[in-house]
Amino acid sequence: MLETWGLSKSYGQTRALIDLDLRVGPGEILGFLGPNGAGKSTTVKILAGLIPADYGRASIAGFDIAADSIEAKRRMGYVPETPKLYESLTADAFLDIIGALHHLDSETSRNRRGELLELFDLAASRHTRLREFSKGMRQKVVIIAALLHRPDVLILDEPFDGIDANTTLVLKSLLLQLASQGKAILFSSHVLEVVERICTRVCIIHQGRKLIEGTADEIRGAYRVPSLDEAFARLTGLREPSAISADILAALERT
Amino acid sequence: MTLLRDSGVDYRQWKALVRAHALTDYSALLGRDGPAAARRAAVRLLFTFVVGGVMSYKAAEAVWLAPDVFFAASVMTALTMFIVAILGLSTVVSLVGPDDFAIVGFRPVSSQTYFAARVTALLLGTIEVAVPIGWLPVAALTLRDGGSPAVAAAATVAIAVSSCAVTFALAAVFGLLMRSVSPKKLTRAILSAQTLGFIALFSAYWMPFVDRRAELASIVSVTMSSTSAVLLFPGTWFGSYVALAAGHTSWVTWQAAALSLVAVGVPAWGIIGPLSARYTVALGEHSSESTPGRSISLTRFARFRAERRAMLILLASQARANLNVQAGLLTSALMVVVMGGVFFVQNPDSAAFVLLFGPLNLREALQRSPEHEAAWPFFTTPCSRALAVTTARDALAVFLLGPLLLLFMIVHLAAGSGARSFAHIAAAGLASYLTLQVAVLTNPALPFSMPMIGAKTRIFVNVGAMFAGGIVVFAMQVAFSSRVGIVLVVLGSVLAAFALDKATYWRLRQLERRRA
Repeated sequence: MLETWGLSKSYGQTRALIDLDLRVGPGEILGFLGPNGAGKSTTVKILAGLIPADYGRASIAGFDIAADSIEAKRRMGYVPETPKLYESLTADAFLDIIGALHHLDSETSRNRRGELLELFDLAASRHTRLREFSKGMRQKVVIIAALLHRPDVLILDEPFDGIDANTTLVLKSLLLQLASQGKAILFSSHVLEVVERICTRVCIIHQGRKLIEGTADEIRGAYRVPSLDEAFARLTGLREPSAISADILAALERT
Repeated sequence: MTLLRDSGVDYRQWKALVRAHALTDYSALLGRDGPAAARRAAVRLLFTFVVGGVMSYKAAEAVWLAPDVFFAASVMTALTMFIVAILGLSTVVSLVGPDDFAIVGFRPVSSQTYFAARVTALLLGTIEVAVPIGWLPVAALTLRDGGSPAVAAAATVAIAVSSCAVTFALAAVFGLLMRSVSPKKLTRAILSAQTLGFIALFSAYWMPFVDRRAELASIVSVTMSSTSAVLLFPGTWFGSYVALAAGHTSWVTWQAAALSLVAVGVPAWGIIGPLSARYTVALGEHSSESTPGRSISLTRFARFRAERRAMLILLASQARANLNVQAGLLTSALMVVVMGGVFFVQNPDSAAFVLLFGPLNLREALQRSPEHEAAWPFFTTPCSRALAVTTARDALAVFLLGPLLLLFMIVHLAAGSGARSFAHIAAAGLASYLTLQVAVLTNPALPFSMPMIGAKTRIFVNVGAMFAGGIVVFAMQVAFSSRVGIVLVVLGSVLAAFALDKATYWRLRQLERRRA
């Protein structure tokens, strides 16, 4: 459903992504992890067709994202890390436009967005300008926009950012149910507890390279640690956290 | 519809994108922001017609007086094309780095559809410019021959088609350049071209005050030659519509009309065909380019304390790296130089008056910013905004007013104007600083803290401040007759500057307390 082969990308002299192979099959939720600057957002942007890869290729539902981008994008729902919206539009108008871009007929679009706005607790604000929305409300609109056309593949970059606890619970359950329907989901996040709970497999990248891929149990087992957090810290070369925090406090005291 | 489909444009998606653009840019005018906002937008629109009328007044006069209708119509279309091109450059930036690529880029929208929507947005911007600029010359052209409906229609079509031709040409040229030049370089080139265009327009407007040969009387006596050489002047291509409607048919007017179709058709073909097919690919390639920033040396500011250091670093960084700030400052500074030159030719002593509004223009250019929301640290930290605002004001005086004063002094020296003119410039420099102080006192906004659109322009504040500065200059002119008078006025001005500084601090503290 979602595959990459030897994906590589550089920004000037900086190699952001090196020879990345990924595969997310139907019904799978792949947790895509890495420290800041690891190359996660670059990967996600290439998969979303926003930037081209230097080498390698990626496909969504069997369609190459570079050669057959329209067909690939038709089958994909994407939640960006820092979503941009048409701020002057109401939530309703924005979703109507997104529906039109996905060729939903106006009645289907109206019914579907009406129900989703209701379920995401935004019905009362549907005629409010997006610039007046809180961060969490905006994120809900972006999630609705990603689901509106019933995509086969979901690419989610920090989807829970700014979302309240109740909606987070709903979203987690929703992702599991979408996966059970056969959707392929790439889930990029820094919240390892959530990744551990909902992802069928986990891929950790660092400095543009894939370090490990497997189930959370396999990764924990490989490093003989009780949690994914600790395995992640070891893999990405984090020093003892308490030592770093002590150094930070000392630096603040020094000058 | 068929044309759109054949060009690879999805009509429904194109309509949705154009709707999003219209709702974003014309929200108030469409009445979606409530009746009060709609009224304000209508007043603003009316104001643009007045400003457009002022800008095209000279052309309208030429159109009215010129005996040759072909020449008159060519002047009209040339002016509209030039202004549409200059103002259109600012909207072309949206083609090079569109704001909504992050929203649309990952949707199943073809490159052709997205490009068509962007070009439509450009065309809407063109109409917004061309109508206020064109209405007065069109009216003059229509009424001069006793109100012929055919001439009126032809003039309107000429304005519309010539504006479309310019927009298509801009879109085609920048669409082509996007294939090989990075958006950053392209944006810099666009802003530079726009700045130079503005200055050319501004200079042309003042030209008759400097050079009597550029006066209307000599221009309007021109009769369009019937040779093909006139076809080198693009205004004739579209002006020919009016000539043909007025019954002035000749081989040259028909040739000109044919050329106008080529001028619209060639860029339109480029837009529909090869350029649009690779548009989103080019956007994607450029958005992942690395753009190393030019940073300033922070050690240079280490000797300044707290708020002063923060404000100076902010100003220096923005002036170094922000293209909009650079273009705004350059335009304002060049306008002062052009105006100063015009005044100097008229009367060397009066040139220094230009220095009164120079700093106000420059301050205006510094205040509006798309990054205005980034001003939050000045409001959430225990810093003194009074100190930050006065630092910005003084930096403006030292780094922008100072060089302008120096330039004026050099010009005076070169012209051998002598000590008297120096005194005038020194007086105007002081008065200019007082003007700036009054403007800051009445509107103590931080730099880069006001939105580009929607912020109130403090015209009355600026006019009031200039009036205050003018009084000082006038007082100095009067006092030049005696040395005691000069000393008294200079001393009075210095004391006024000191008092204004204290008043600004006091006012800002009051404002801060009220907010707290």
